[in-house]
Amino acid sequence: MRRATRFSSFFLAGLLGAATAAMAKTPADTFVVASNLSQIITLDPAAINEGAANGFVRQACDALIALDPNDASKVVPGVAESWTVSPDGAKYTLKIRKGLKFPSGNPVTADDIVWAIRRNLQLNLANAQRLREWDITKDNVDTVVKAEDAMTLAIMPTRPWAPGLFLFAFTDLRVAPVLDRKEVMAHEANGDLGNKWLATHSACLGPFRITTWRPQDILMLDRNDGYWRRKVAMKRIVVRHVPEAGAQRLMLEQGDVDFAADIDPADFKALEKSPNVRLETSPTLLISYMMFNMNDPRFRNPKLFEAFRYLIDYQGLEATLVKGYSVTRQSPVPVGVFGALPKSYMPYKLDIEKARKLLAEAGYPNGFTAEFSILNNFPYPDIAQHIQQNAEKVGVKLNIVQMIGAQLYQKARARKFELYLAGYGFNYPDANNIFLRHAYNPDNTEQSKDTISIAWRAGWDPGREFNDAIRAAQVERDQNKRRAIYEDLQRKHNANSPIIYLFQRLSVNALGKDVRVFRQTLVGDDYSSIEKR
Amino acid sequence: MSAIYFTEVAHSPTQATVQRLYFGWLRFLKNPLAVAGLVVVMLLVLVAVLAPWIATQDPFAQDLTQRLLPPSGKHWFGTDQVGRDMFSRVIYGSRVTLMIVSLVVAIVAPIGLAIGTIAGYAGGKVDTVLMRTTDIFLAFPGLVLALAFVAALGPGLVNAVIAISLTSCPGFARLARAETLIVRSSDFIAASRIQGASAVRIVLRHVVPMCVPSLVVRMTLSMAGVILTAAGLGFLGLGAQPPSPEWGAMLASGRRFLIDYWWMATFPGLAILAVSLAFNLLGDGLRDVLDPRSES
Amino acid sequence: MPVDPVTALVGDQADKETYRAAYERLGLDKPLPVQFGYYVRDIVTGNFGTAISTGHPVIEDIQRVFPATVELATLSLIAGVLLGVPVGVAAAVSKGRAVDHLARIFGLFGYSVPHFWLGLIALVVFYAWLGWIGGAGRVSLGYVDVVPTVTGMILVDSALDRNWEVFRDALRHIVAPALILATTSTAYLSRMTRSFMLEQLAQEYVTTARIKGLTEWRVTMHAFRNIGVQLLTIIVLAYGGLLDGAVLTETVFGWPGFGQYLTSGLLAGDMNVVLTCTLMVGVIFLALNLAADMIYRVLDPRTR
Repeated sequence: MRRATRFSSFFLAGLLGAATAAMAKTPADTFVVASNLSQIITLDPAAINEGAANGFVRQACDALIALDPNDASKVVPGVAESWTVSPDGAKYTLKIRKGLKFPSGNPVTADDIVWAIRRNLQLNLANAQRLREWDITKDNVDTVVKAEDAMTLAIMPTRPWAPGLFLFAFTDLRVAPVLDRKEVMAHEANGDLGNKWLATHSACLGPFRITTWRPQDILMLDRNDGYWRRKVAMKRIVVRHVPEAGAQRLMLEQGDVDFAADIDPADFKALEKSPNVRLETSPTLLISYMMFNMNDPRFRNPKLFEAFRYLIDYQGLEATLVKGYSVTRQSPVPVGVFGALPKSYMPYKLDIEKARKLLAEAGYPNGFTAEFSILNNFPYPDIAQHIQQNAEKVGVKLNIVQMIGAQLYQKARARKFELYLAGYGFNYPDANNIFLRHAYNPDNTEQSKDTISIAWRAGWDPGREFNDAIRAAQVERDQNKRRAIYEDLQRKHNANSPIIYLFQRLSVNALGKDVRVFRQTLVGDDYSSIEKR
Repeated sequence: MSAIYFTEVAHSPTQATVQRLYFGWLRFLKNPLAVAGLVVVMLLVLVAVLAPWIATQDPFAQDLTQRLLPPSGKHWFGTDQVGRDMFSRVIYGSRVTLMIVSLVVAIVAPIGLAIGTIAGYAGGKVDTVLMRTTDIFLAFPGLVLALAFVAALGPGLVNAVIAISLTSCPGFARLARAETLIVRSSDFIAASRIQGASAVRIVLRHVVPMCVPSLVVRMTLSMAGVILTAAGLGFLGLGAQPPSPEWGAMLASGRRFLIDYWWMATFPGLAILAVSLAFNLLGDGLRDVLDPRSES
Repeated sequence: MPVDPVTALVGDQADKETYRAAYERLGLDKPLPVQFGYYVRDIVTGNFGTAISTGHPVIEDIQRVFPATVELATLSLIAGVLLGVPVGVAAAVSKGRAVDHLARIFGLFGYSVPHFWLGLIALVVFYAWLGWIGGAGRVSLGYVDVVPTVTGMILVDSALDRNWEVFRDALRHIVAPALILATTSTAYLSRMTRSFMLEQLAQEYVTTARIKGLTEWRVTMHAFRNIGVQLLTIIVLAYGGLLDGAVLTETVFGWPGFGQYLTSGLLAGDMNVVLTCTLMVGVIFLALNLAADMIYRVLDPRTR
């Protein structure tokens, strides 16, 4: 009995406390974020493979070369203050900005950069391949990347890449992070080059440094004073693990957080009306697409693929289901990327009759049945059901099977799917990245080494001309000619491939009313620019 | 009329059974909650069977211009995120629920009964092995175990049913065994054995019928758990796949819209609640009637 | 397990070499029996492996998440006892009448309601609309890491530290998930209590007491005292059953506990997490069952 009264009196006290407390506000120099942290496994730049982790580590870790905050398709001076490229593209000389210091107090030198790149390859974790893409390997890195002196870096690539292109490689912290070599090596264990320590710490040059990380709980960053790029207003960033999008929204509306990172489009309408919240949108490098598996003998005819391009009501979906979340994009190259066809390029729309005709021409007047493997998170089940319904109108019966990413990608990797719907995130704003990942397929057999290519997973051989054009564009020095090649390839892609492009994702930032400035770019958010009232 | 058919001492086994059932039925009717449960369960079956006539629209017809509409005269339960009529979907969802429930019963009853009676009757090593195995399964909470199975088998309605059945069997088997143990030592079993009846015959003709009442009760009561587990799996995307109108999956879709478009998640949730409650009440009522040992 | 832990680790865009390297690093290239052998050997030496999804040793992770669930489950159980037992007694005392029926429905409600649904509704109504309770998580952001961690249970730690502000905040956050989780144990306890009480009330001594002229209240209390041991036993068992509901309740409320850890490990194909957690759950259940057994044996005079 006594226990009951004690409990209930505490309960009432709690309620009273809640009722009389003023509406929660976050401190003026702290930026509080609600985000789903369950995907973050490690903070080591050599191992980060996932978007959420990258998004936060970016706030603590600069890359060698910076992107223009207003136009992510341009490189600008950053940690590398200036650079020269030899006329034949064989040597890049980069000068490191003087006077930069790590949070530990150690000065930033060219040696740190060289070491970080070498470390990336030696550890051979998820991000080593981002260097191998540029033909920089464990075996040749010592000749390709060198420190000419303490403040000068020299890179001698093995191919004469187009300079506008090659520099993009070093804008990614997963390739060339500005890591504090002395600090990291001081925490080395068993020759792991500091991998275990860096999994839970940061030791980079950046506007912030990571001070606390409890997996699936909380991530905290503190400001590093004297950041080279600008004066940083926020003293601290606190990221709270809130797996439910609905809970994130509620916390935002109540003023408990400044930024809800995973706002669900279902909440857009209500948030737009809320006086405590504003929504800011900007395009990203993420796309949604579906594809056929050409290894299945039924799916070989390009007319079949074309038929399906007319089964989707892109505009209808954009106006309703994915409103504010995605925009129609019928090319693999997202808007804002060098080489992209203009935004107005939209050759396909919903046309059931045309689809039916094409399907018959492809040899399926009575349709067929197939399994449709999709991701189980928004918006894929909804888009899939839409496609399923339209497909049924032309006699195609699609059986949806939804699953988590790891399972779906496994199927793709093994080429064991029939139809497939998923998203993809590109890494830097140049069409080269897109075509290497989504079209380049010189070896369509099981023995191929390029199994990362989506074209390979779809069993699509684009043909020698196509592959050669991609390679040619990589070394084409005339930017206009490069662009022309890419535009042509996009049209060819749509005409022949089993891969159908649907949407480009928008990044929607749901911010509290106290946040005055929050800059988003094509490649991510920039917390160093945040200003609050 | 009843004087002719109902006598104090039964004249045949059939008459005894009929008499017992009839009086049991009368006692059952005295329990209003149990009757309510029965009515709802029967309603579920009725709705599932007559779904095409009760539903006002095609549960699969999407219409992007009619998304997320609140309940109205046209859409009694509103529409979902792709414009489908919620009322029709909930109605058709009863079919999925009924199918899950029936399949689970069809699997668990014979298998659980078999394991339990064999273990109880044979005793010794067979008993020990079977019971240790069921113990291992019983060590885990139902949802966790079902989750593990479905994660291993892959998503889908059939796999979900299999997973749920596997997690329900052990409890059922234990009960069957307990009943068998009680019955095994009774006189009429001994009499049968003396008469030369084989073990199989004894088990089938004498032991099993004695187990039936408490097993029916147990089965009915666990239906609620089955429905909730299925909903839980559907909620995690591991059960029936879209566009199937399974109630748990509908809760998952509606979860995103709960704050502003409450009808998407509320009605399927209420349906799950109503049906679960009904099975529980029904099972409770049956227990009062069929299992004389449970209370005075 | 059809979920590929390597893909979960290296992501979709890993090339063959990266995949192969990670595959070998996880030791997956060795045959299954060998892997299992390593696992057993590791367990015996106290090494439960590293969780792929957090990069930390599983044991550390469990040490981190377990107190959260214990706190939640304990509070749930207390609520379940405080609500379920009186209801059960009331139902037994007024058997067959309206109170009994109401109590029955009330109890069965706990067995019939989807917890995740209830949790979402609670958040909407009590957090969004009324602001009575805290949002997701264990404490508001301003109170994270304020009190020193002694037990890992924030209510206990803040009380020990005499920091009543944090205590109140933690309470506001735990109230909803605890009550929702308690619906099942309330149902269970009310049913069992009712059943035990009915057994007692049918005994001779009750009739005797009534004849002697004792008030109904005293008779009830008398009978209640006699079921004490049985109650204690089932309370211990109910504790184990809370783990079931915890899985989804924790997800809805962003509660960083054991249930959420196990679920995300399962969905990510993280073998170390799944196996270790499974072991733990089994051990806990076993321990609880043994405890219940022992309580019965020690305290029940009839079994001596």
